[in-house]
Amino acid sequence: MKKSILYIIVFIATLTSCEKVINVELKDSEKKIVIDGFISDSIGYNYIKLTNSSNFFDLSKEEFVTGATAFVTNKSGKKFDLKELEPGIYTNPKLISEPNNKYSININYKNNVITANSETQSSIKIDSFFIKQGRVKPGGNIDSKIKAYTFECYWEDKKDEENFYHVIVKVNNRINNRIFVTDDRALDGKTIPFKSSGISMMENDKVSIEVLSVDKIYFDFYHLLFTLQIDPNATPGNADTNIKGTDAIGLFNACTISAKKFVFKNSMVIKGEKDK
Amino acid sequence: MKNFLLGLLFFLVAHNTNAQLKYTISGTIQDFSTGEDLIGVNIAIKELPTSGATTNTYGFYSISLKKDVYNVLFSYLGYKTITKQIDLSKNTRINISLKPDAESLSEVVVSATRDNDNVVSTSVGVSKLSIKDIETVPVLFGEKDIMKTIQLLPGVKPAGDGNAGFYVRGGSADQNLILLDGAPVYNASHLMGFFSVFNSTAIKDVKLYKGSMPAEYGGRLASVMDVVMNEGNNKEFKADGGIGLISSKLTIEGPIQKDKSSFIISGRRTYADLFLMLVDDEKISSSTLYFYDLNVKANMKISDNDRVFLSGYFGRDVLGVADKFGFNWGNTTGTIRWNHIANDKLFSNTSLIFSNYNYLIEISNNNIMFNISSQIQDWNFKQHFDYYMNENNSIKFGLNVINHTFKPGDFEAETDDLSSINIEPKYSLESSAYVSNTHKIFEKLTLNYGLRFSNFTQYGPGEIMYWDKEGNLIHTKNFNKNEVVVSYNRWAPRISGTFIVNDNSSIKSSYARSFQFLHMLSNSSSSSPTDTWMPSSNNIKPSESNQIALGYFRNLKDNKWEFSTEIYYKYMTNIIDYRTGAQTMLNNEVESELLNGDGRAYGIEFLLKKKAGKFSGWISYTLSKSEKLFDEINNGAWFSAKQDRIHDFSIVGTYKFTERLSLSGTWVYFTGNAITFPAGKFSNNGFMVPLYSERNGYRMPDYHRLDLGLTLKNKKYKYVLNPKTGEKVKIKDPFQSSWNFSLYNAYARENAYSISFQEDPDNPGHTQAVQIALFKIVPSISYNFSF
Repeated sequence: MKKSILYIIVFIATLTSCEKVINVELKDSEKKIVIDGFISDSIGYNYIKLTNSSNFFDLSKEEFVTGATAFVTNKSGKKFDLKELEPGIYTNPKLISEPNNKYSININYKNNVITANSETQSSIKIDSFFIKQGRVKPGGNIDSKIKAYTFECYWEDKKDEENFYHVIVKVNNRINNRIFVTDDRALDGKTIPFKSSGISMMENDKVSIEVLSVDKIYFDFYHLLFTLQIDPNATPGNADTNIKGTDAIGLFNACTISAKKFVFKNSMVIKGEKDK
Repeated sequence: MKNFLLGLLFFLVAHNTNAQLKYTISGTIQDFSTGEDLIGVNIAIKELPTSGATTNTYGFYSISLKKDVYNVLFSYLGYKTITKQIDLSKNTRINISLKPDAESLSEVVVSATRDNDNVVSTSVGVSKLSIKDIETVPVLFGEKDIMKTIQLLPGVKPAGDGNAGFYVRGGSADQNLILLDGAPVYNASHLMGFFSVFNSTAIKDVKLYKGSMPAEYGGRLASVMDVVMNEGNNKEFKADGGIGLISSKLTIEGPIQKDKSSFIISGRRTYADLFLMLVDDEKISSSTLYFYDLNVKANMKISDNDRVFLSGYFGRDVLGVADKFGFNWGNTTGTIRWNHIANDKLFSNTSLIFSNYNYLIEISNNNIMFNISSQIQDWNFKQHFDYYMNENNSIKFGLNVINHTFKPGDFEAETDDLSSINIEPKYSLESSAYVSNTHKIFEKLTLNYGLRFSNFTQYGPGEIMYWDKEGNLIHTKNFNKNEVVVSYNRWAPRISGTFIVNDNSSIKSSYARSFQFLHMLSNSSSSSPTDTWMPSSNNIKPSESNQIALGYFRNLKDNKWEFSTEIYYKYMTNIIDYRTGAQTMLNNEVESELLNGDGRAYGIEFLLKKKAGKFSGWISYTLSKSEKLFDEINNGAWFSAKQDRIHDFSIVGTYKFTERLSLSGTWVYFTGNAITFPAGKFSNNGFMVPLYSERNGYRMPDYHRLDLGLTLKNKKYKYVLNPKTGEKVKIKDPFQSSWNFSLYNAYARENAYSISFQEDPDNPGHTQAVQIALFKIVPSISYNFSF
């Protein structure tokens, strides 16, 4: 909504409005240990990544934190020890999340103990999924082989539960930066529609669409990112996190996923219905 | 404390009443050609240079003097002064009609006797503008706008391109009370701040109190902007219009019954959307985008002592993107007012006021319609008295009761696939009583002191949630209809003083306490019509401010130059900010997202104004600071408020080449808004997450802009043959017109509307700062006429 308003504001500025890249000097940021924890019911998609935070404009590769010990426990007290398979990446192949469970991580790095809790929600399943021909962006090249498409995806929400979803679209393993998060306040127990336009794909691209059923703290965290994405004047700040520990930041997410993975073929596109 | 103040008031008043027998001269003063009441006319007594009075908002004055013969001068800037000799032996009613200067064909310039009004007036921290003052100031799209021009005065700062509202002395935009004929206007801008809702042809007078407001005003911390609409010409029919590039307007006024009653209708509409059709993009060309507003007013003299006014404002902004998205918002206000001259000394003003602001968003998605709406509605009763007790005391007192109904947000869908979301309405009653006295202690010292009592009560029905400081729900309680949830009593003393050093210099000082019971929720530094108002409640305490100010006023060169400087400090408590990521729209638990803190603002203002001559204009400069303190933000340390502008500079100049041709320019410069930028970053689940360290630790680039305007009036007079003598006679042409050419942002400065950080499209993985500027150069042309 804010975006539409901005769009119109910018437009009525008699078409004289302009965007330009400017040079901004930012102060250095204090280095903190970052926990990127992810546990799902999808095999091979469970890890805890430890890195150091960097300055905002820093272009160097992520600085991994190695030599920590870590384990995960669930609601019933079952413990999974994690191994550092690659530098800074800690995992255990047996660790697969279950719906409506609670997971806790415990990380010990140089005697600094970092913990976090996350709860999985009821799992959902994508019922239907469509690809439609998208609009060519203004200024876009019509002859280009890369065209924009619209994804539509539907699933049933679990009634009488507070549910939160994050939809992630990847093309050739590259994440689409736009953030799509929603709660079920207006859709409790009903079909949740997801629609995203402007997704660029070519024949034979590997595409995945993942619907993550997440908890409230994850939703709030990403909702703030979403707000900052659509309203450049939104008041920014650090979102609340479930990570507890000295100088530790990041987010730990235990979730369930419903995914569609496919190799894109032009024949998949629903013809005749050009999306506006 | 309160009793002491009241006691002191009556003591001071009583102290002066034991004088000898006096009689009262009173009456109303009007414009000769239109019958409009004149506000602020000076009434001076030749024999008693230190005595005098001014007319109130309804043109009424009253002055009490000893039995004697006096020469009474009635003078008003731009009008011919009238002198009346009065043998005062009984209470006397004198109604006066003043002729505008321009009406006379003679070249004699009549100078108003009180050119030093700014020095001797007892009001402190007040900016006044009349429509004449803004006539030549260049503005965006050539649309004269009193609210934009007032922002060029010291201590008043524009919110910036694309933002509604203004900031007064470090206060936020929602701390300004904007009244149109007494009715609060909750969203005073059109098209996100490009225009104000005030159509300048319908407006008579604007006063802005910068925090030292008299006791009759209250309910906001920073300022009161009191806008009065024209009443309508009760002598003859008149039309006044303007045709511009993106908007046109027309005003018709005239008598209903000559000299007794009149009406005025003034309408305005933009047609910016016509330009959208030129765009080769179906989505844009099928969009709508316009606003309109309509001011209507009628008044009738029932008797010499009674007059009834009816006034209304209806304004709406509409925008839509094809049939997919519709959004409209607007204010409606209505006022019924009864002026009654009870006796020579007592003037009564009774009004019943209605005010409504709402918005409606309609979205159609896959042929499913849904809409979001919000509304605030007020019913307001005001009873005000002006009591001109004696030569040295004039008392104002009255009461004001406002019933507020808030519907913060509703989400409705035309399908069972979506559940509706209804945010619980809130009901409150804001009642105030006040008394104040303007007291001339001795010739050179005048004090204005008063007290305002306010009660704010939140009442049911409703399911009221109680939140703790951390935002956790303590409990929920159900309240029945009209059951009191919480009630606040607040006392606000006000005092100001003017010490006249000599004819051309004075020192003024003031202290004022104010309370605010309504808070605008907006978690973005850009304003939106969807920003909702929230009343004080069991969780939100009323905000309070205490301000002291000291000023020095000096006129130079025979009052042709005015200089003033004012220094102020104010401290605010219980002001509102938000938890990180707070959602203010459609959130039933929004009160749990609010934070309570303090604020402080201080600064010094300078104004140098040249009033007469071919070149006129002013320079204003403000050096100021505005900061906030919240336990939960910025590690509990003071941080700059968004509207903290250290330097603020404006220059306004008009050069009159001839009677018909004038060139004007304004240049503004201010420190960029305080803004929060990230310091670090990290990744989560493949997404880049910015890491922030301090709130508002950075600045937007400095804002500056030059606007130019050129006004060419047609010939004012024409020659006609006198059929009797055969001579050519010069008469005033009833049809007056003018062309206005303007350049907004003449040197095309790209002032930042927003700065955001995005991935570099040419260089994935790299982040860049992108600035959006709304305007480069905006030329415009408009044609105005009246007949």
